[in-house]
Amino acid sequence: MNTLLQTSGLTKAFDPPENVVEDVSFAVNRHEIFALLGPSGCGKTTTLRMIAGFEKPDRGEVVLNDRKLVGKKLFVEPEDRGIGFVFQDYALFPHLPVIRNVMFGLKNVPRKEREERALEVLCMMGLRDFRDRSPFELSGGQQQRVALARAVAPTPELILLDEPFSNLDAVLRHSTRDEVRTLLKKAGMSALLVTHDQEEALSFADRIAVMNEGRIEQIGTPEEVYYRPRTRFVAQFLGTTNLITAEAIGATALTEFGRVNLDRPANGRVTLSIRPEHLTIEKPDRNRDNYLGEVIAKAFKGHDITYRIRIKARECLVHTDNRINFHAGDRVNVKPLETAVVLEEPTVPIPSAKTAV
Amino acid sequence: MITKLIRIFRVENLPRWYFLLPAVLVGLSVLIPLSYLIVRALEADTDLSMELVFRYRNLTLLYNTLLLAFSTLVIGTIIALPMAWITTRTDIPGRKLLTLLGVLPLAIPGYVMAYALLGFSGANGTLAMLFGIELPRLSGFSGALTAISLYTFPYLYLNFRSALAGIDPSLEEASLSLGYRPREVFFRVILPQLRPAYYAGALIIFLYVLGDFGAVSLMRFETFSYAIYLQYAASYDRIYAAWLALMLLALTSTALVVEYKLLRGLFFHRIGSGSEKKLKMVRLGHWKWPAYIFVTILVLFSIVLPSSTIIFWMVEAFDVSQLAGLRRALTGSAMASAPAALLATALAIPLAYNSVRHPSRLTRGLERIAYLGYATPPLAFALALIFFTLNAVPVLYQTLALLIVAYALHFLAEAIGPVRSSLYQASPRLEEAARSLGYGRLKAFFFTTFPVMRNGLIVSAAFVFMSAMKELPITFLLAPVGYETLAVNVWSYTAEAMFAQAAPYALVILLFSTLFVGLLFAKEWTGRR
Repeated sequence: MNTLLQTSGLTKAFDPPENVVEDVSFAVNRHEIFALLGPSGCGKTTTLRMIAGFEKPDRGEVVLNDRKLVGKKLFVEPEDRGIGFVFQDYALFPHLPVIRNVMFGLKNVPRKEREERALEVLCMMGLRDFRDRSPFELSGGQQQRVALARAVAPTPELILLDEPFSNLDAVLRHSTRDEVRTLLKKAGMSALLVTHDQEEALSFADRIAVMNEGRIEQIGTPEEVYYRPRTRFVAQFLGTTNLITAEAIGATALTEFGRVNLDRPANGRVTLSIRPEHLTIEKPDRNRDNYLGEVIAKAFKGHDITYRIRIKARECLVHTDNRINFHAGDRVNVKPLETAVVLEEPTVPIPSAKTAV
Repeated sequence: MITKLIRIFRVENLPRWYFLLPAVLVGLSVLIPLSYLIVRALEADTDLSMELVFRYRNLTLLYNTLLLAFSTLVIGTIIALPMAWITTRTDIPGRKLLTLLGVLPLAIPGYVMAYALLGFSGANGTLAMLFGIELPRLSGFSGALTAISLYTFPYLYLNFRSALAGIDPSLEEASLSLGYRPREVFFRVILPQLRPAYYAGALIIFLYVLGDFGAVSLMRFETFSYAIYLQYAASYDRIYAAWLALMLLALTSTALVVEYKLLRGLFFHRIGSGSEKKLKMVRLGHWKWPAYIFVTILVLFSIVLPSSTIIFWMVEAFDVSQLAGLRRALTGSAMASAPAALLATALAIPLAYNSVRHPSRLTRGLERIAYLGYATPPLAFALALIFFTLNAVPVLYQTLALLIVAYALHFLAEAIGPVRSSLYQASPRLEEAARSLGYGRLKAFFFTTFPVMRNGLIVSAAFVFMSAMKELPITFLLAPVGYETLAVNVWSYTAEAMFAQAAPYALVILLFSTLFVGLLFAKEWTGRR
């Protein structure tokens, strides 16, 4: 693969010894959109800012396009990195009109061509008519696109986006997201996005790194991290899931709702994750089924239904389509449709951040 | 201890050297001259030193200074508290105008007020000439107290006003619902909450009285500042002057420490986040008439009397020949004040930048250095600069450059506020955006943050300029021989009872200080919206 950005072992503490980012390593490929996904305070923005050069890592390396930016006794200033950055609050220069905001980064372009080039980018973003407006006079979505235009105009190889859609309202967010994705792909640019919105990461990125408490827990395509979460955290952070402790014997395990197939062989006590939409419920067959559950609650959501089912003193969630209709109090049989995912248990207890040195 | 130090000096938290250096320079240029006071004071042998320190006169000076300071505080409180209450918590018609009237006396500096009081009373005062009424001429303690109180009470007024307006109305409602009468609520709930504001305002007044030279000298009331001047200018006793300046510095430091101790732990926030309610206004009814009478008397003394006295003397004896002198003094004041305003603003930028962008104990401490020059009594500071230049850099002695630097260091504190709040408006992301677009640290600052701060910088420069235009004691000691400024001329003519000659200079100062108050008021007003 054609690696553009490689970080290895990035570590940062603002208030030692508590590490905000701990041993973060990942690679972004050329023409790829990569997302760092995690809850607020997980260190994803700090990671992004270390790559941009706004923060200095305590340890670790950043390499862009075979050029080392950060290493032992090496720190390339942000202005010498050639990395574009789109800020959460856009950080448009309030004293400059839109066109001058975009021209600001074109200082290596001959003076005469700057305006032309800036206008070109503005047109691409559909902002041609706003060239002389002041940033105050733009809507949130327009400001967002100006910020993107400003970052894209100097044609950096990599562009970093810090929660770029979080200041937009829900409707605008979806359309802007699609537009930006198309633009980035058309321009052949690589992008690294930071977000806490799992849906955004899943739909926007080619690959995702899920972060928690300063560490990366899993890297993979949206399908991989969603369908085959490696840890309990990833399983729960990306949508709802059922976590089940069970006794595994080889390729299967025995659970409250019977024997389920596992995604990989395991033995002994394991924690399994199975998504609610990978379960279904049906009328019990008196002769065959021993795994009876009871419907406790039903939430009708239009095109699907979420049931809460109690089986043997535990509860699980089941998503079904709206043709499967039961009521609270009904006796049902829960049936897995897919394999369950065996989660990695931390074999050694993770040293809590406070005691880590 | 060591880990604490390491934490304070963590390399990463440190601002860049070019932002750090100005802060250090400011600190050194205040502290090094002050150390020359000690050098000069210790030139006396031990016996003489003991004699100078334990003179009975020092006790008299201390008594006079403290008496004046506390009396000013009492009078100021008696004026400012009711005034603040009337303009924030009652339904009195014309509250905006009344507020302006409460601030406007700031436009009449203490020595101009002293000029007006002297030119108004006595055998050849305005009153005697117009109506044949001869009031005994105010002088000494009562004269100094009147002049200073009428000039300084707005500092307390402003503090009381914002504190009263900021009190959570729910507290009052809660006390009422617990069975307290409105009067009890005022004394047991509202007054205690005004304490931080009161201490802050009181400190400003205290420092002002300690530093005041113009009013006490014209009224011939011997405080430390006046005595320093007498020793230096009249008796040429530099060593005793240095000792007096050191005692004054000790008094100032004591005031600062006491204020710090009093304020510790005294921060009253709104607790809980319930929606902010509008303050309930007291319906005054017929009680508004006594309120109006109170304000009218105040305005008569604090604004009408001084301005009409100045205008009377202008009309009485104005002569075109005075214009040349006026122009000379105006140019003199402006030539020193304008560069000082630019210098102070330029120094304020790195100081404020350090503490806003790299907040740490170190940078906050450095920012406080700006207040060092402000809190140091101006006469003591000027004297220190004289000793310093004479001993260390004689080229600077008696130069305009030294005066400019002294102004800048003294008024730096006024420049910091607006610079700092404009910095808060410029998001640090702007500079980061510029850097990600290929601009170095300094360029990023000058192309993005600096233009955004522009208005704040203009306000800062204007504050310093207008303050320097009316500054007296520093100018008095540091201006080159024969250098005329507005303030010095008002003082010299008044000191010789030449009220007509002083009038045009006083009028111009009045105009400038009215602009200053206008700016302050405009800022207050927009800030509250």
